[in-house]
Amino acid sequence: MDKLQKKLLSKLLENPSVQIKKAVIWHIPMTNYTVAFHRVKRSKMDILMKMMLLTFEQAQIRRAANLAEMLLVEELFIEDLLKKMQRTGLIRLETGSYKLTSKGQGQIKTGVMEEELEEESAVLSYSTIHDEFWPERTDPLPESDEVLPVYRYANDQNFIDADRILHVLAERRNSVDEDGFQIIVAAVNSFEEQEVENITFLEFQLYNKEQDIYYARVWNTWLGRWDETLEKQIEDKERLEWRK
Amino acid sequence: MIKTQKTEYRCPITLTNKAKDKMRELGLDERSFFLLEKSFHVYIEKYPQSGDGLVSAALFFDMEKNERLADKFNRFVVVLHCLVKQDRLVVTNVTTRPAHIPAASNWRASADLTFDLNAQGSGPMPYGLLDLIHNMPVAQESSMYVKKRIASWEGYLKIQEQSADIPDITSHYSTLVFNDDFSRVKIAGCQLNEKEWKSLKDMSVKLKGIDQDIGKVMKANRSAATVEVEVHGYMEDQARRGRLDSHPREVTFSNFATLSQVKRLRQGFKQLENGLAANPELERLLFENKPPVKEIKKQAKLQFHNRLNEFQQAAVIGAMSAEDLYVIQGPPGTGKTTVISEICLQNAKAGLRTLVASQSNLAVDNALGRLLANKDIRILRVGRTESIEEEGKKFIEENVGQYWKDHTLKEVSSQFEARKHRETEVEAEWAANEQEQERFQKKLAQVEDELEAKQKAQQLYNEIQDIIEKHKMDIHDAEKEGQTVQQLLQKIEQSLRLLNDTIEQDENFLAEEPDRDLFQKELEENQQEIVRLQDSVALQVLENEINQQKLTIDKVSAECEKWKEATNQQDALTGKIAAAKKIDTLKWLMLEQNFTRSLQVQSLLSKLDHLRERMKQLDKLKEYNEKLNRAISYLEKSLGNQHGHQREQLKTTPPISTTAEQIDQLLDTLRSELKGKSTIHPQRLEAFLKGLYGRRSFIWKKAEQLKLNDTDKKVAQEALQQLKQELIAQLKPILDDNKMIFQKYQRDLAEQTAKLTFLQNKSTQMRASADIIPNAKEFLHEKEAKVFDLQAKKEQYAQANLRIERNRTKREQETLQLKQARQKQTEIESRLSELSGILKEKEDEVIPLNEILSSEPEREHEEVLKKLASISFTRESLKQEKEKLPLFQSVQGVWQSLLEEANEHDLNEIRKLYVKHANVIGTTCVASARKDFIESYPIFDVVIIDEVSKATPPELLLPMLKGKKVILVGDHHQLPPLLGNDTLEETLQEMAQESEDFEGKAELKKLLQESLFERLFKNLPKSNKTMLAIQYRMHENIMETITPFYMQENEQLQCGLADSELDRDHKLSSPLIKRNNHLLWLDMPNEPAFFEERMKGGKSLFNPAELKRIGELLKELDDAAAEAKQAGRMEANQKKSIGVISFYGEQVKRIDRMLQQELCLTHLTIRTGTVDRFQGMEMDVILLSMVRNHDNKQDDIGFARDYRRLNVALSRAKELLVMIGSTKMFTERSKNKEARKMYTHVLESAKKQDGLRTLEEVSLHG
Repeated sequence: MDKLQKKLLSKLLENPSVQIKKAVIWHIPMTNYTVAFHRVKRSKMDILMKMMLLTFEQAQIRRAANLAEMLLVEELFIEDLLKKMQRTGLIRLETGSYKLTSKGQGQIKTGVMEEELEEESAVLSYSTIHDEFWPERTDPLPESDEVLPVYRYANDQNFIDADRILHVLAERRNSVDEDGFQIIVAAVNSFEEQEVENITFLEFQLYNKEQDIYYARVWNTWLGRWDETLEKQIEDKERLEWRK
Repeated sequence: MIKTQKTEYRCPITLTNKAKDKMRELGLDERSFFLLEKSFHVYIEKYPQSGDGLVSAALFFDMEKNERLADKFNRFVVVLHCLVKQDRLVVTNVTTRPAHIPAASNWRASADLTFDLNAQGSGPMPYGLLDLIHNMPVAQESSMYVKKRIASWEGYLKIQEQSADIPDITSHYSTLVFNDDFSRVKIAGCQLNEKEWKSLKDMSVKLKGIDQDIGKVMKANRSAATVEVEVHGYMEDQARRGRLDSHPREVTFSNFATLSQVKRLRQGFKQLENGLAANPELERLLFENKPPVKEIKKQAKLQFHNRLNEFQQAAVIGAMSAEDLYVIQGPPGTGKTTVISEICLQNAKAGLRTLVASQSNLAVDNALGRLLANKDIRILRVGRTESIEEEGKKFIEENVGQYWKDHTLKEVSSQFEARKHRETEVEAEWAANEQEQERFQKKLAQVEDELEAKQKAQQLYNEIQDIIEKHKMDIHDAEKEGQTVQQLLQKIEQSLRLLNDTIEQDENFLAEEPDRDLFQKELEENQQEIVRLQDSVALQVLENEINQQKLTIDKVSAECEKWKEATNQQDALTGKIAAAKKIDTLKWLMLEQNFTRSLQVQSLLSKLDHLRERMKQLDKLKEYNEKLNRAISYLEKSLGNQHGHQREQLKTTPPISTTAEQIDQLLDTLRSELKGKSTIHPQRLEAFLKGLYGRRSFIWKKAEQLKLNDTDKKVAQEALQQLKQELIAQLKPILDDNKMIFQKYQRDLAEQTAKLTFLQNKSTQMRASADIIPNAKEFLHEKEAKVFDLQAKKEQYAQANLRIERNRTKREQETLQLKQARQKQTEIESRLSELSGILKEKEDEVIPLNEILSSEPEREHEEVLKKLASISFTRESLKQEKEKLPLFQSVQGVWQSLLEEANEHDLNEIRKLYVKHANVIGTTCVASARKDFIESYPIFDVVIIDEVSKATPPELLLPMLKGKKVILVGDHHQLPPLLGNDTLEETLQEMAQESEDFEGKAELKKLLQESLFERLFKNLPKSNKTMLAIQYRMHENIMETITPFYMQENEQLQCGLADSELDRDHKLSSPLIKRNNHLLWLDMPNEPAFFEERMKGGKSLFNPAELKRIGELLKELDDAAAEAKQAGRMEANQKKSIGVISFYGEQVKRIDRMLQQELCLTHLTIRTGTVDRFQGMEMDVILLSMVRNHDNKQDDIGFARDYRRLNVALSRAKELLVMIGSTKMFTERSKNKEARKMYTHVLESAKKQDGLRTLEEVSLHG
């Protein structure tokens, strides 16, 4: 930890007008969640085209305008797709209204079909202070021997729900396979709070004498970056004090 | 872009040998070439006429439309250069052009030509083709026109090119030092040469190992070997991770972006030159003093989708109706964006594609962000994703699928939800509709009955009305007649009264007056008396005359005597003169009588005087002779006879010249010697005697000379005589005069005596008949007056008599007339009463009818019919809805769930469709000239450019080139373009410092004075421009400060807020700011403690005193906001938006530092910036730090002088504007009169609103 602190210090002091007023180390709590979810596999679909096919099954559509009114979609789009579908042989005009061809019916079937995949699980790391899910880490965190104080403005609010988790998982796990099928996170089956981890932060309070400004630099060891959220929080709460 | 005339011509053609050779060189066969197509699509370009008058032209072959030609030969465009003859084209040369240069242009005419190689004998060229070539413009001339005009815009490019043409600069560096929030980085240890250091500013910065640019150079400090870079926002994460600082440490500064921008601008010039504008008239619209806009055929009739005021409506209608160019002047807060939004929607509905362009990304995003979400509008934002603002992001290509989905899902869901309740509603409505219909059917029947009754009543009413009308007419006639008679009666009565009076008067008069004879007698007596008096007066006059005459005679005879006496005196004088014997007597007379001493008299007198002098000298000589004789004789005696002979000798002593005195002296000496000595030596005596003798003989000699001879005497006699005559002659005229006057008086006397005699005779005669009466004259006047009086009376008397007689006759006549008239009146009255009886009857009959008629069954009928129609319409639509409802509900249900599930991949097709059919495209001016953009969107039906005044003409040209119609929106009373980060003044200042000889400077300055927008706005006809004159941003008190800037326009700036106090209540209350204050000026004294300062080694200014003041004020505002929350005027989580702005960048930097480091303001959201940067923004509250404050006589207020900058500064605030600066500096010390005037207006406005805070007040509260 000392090594890291020294490294960061020397980096900061590369700026000759900077003075370090204070350097402290502390930690914040990070909660891990194990999540059970499942994904589905389905074909990519052009949803408007699919909707049009579905509608032709149900209703007598004679003109693009009828469909545009029903779906609240631009007539131009409908017209374009009608032409395309006629050209590719999905539909044809029969006694004044559009009807699906057998190819069209086949298309609907594949478009509608979904394959549910096995349940999977994942661990998500959540920082209450940032109200953020953090990415997984593979390399180990630097260890500290001392018992570190907890961050002075720590809180234990928690805004987690299934929807947010689904959203995070969708971003991380949605994909397209080699056959062009989509693999989509469909549902979060359950999620469970695990142990709380302490993440070490190195805080530096700086003074730039050239510009006469005080500011904070806070190194987030989990993300390996200067953490603007905490920097700003500390500055907002303490800067006027520092200037006194 | 191109006039596509679809005209096909037969075209005889031959080739010269040179052309044939050229074709072979190009690998073309003459025969087969012309056989490739049945007819070729070509563009004809006309060349300037050669000296010999031959017309020549070039044919450019279209490489897309001529498919077979293109198949065979697609690397180049083939060009045939031809002479145009009456019967054919003669190809003189064949060349090629690169395929990417478009063959079509506004200077070329397109045509389809079928070439005929058998030119001989195939007849002349078609007239149409010849005519086409003859009438088309010469391409080079059109290009030259553009080239010449566009040259004036070169200055803008030169500024940007100044630093543009520099190759990339690469250097090692030692460290990267980031600032507190990673928005800037200082690159230390750069190794560059001098020239490179100078050119760094604004270049983009790239670090080895990082793909994207990390930012832009703000400042290069050569002595410290550091480069300060403004880091792009998207680089912050990388910077925080420390990923930017990696080995090898190598930085590259590149100018690529600027360079490609300038290239694009140049390319715009070129396109215009080459006739590639979508609107073929564009260059003339831009450059002609009177832009030749097409006449507007008819005003569009529109239905609006936004709420627009009259000006906004006019702008939209105008813009939609204009054919080619429309300009909208939009002062601050007047809803320009709303207008743009409405125009876009109108265009979309009309199936037109619109380009919305602006100089800055921010403005483009602003404009797009405010467009209505409407399914007819498909917005696409084109540009580099990282430079697009949040509002524009949803419209970039990768997001439009999502945007479309969100919008469609919202629409579908709301319809779906609404329809859930609709089924039961429809049933209920259906039932209600049926009931209603029934009710109205009944009502219809009833109303129709009423209608019929009314028609009948109407008929009857009309009949009666006719009769009434007729009777009314009769009555009217009778009444009129009656009136006439009445008038006659009155007239006669009046006349009679008058007559009687007159007669009575006259009779009275006659009775009172005495008889006529008595008059006569008195008159005669008086006349006699008058004669008597007249005689007496005449006599009196005569007497007076006689007395007068006598006096005259006395006077004349006295005069006569006087003159007689004078004559006698003169005579006596003459006698005296003649008798005078002596000259002295004459002299005396001359003196006494004051004679004139004429020349003659003078000479005579002097002659006489001379003679007398000689006589006198003789007398003297005689005297001395005797004296000498006595002495001689004495001496002779004394000597006796001694020395006798000697004495005889002595006697002959020669004369000794001597004078009288010498003689007297000699004699005295002799006497004294004789007395003194008893004896005197005889010799001595002899000597004496000798002297005496000598002297005596001298006297003798002298006497001889002087003695008068006879001639002398005679002369004297004559002279005396002459003198006498002369004097007498002088007297003679006086004597004559006197005699004449005397005679005249004698004659006069005789005359007067004769006259007297005559008068006396006359008097004697008159006395015989008249006496002298005392005061006769006065009596005479009296008597004459009396006679005049009497005669008048006599006349009056006679007239009265005559009048009485006449009047009596007249009275008799009139009495008769009166009688007749009275009779007639009675007749008329009886007729009238009869008529009104009938009328009354008829009118009574009408009353019940009126009641029926006043009811209005027609209207009700119409309404009932309308209602029925609407009922059946509703019924019909309900019926349709009832039928469709289940289907719609089921389809939309499915659709809704599909949309909800859809992800990026699912929307791919939609995205493609959307982009294909996008009808509102937004991008920046410069980006509109990017190659990919031009390829996707070569042309737009309408191009709208927002914030036009902030773009330079070359920038504006780029989007303009693409529009068939161009709509410009801007405000030339706000600031002109910014160049880079600086104001233009700063840029110019800097350039002037860097290179003395920057040529474009003067030219550019001139261009900056009047922008393209301003010129167009001023010169376009009314039909092609509008000013939006109602603003909704500012409290009217704030608006007041900027109204003078718009005084020159046709419309005055108005405030559109219904209630400024309510709509723009800032809700704050503090010691300095009252609830009703909306405009404050915190005056800073014009004293050294408050003066501006210049930053070290820089040019920008700041003002520490104002800075401090702003800090205090912000605290006060923060407290006021807290108080407002407590008092419930503001929501607890609401923050006041405050803009702190300044004319100077350095002051803004210091404000930023202060905000970050020294203040903690929890109830405010603060944005800062220079005035220039704030253009287009608005805030609840604005604090303006004016900075300038000094007492340097040489210096002025810098660019705070520009009214456009002040306009922008004043017009950002919605609720409260606080100016912090020296009133004295700006309203008094400013050098420019206009500047003083505009700041004084602001100050006066502030004062009027009780908004001036002086330092005393400030420190009192602060």
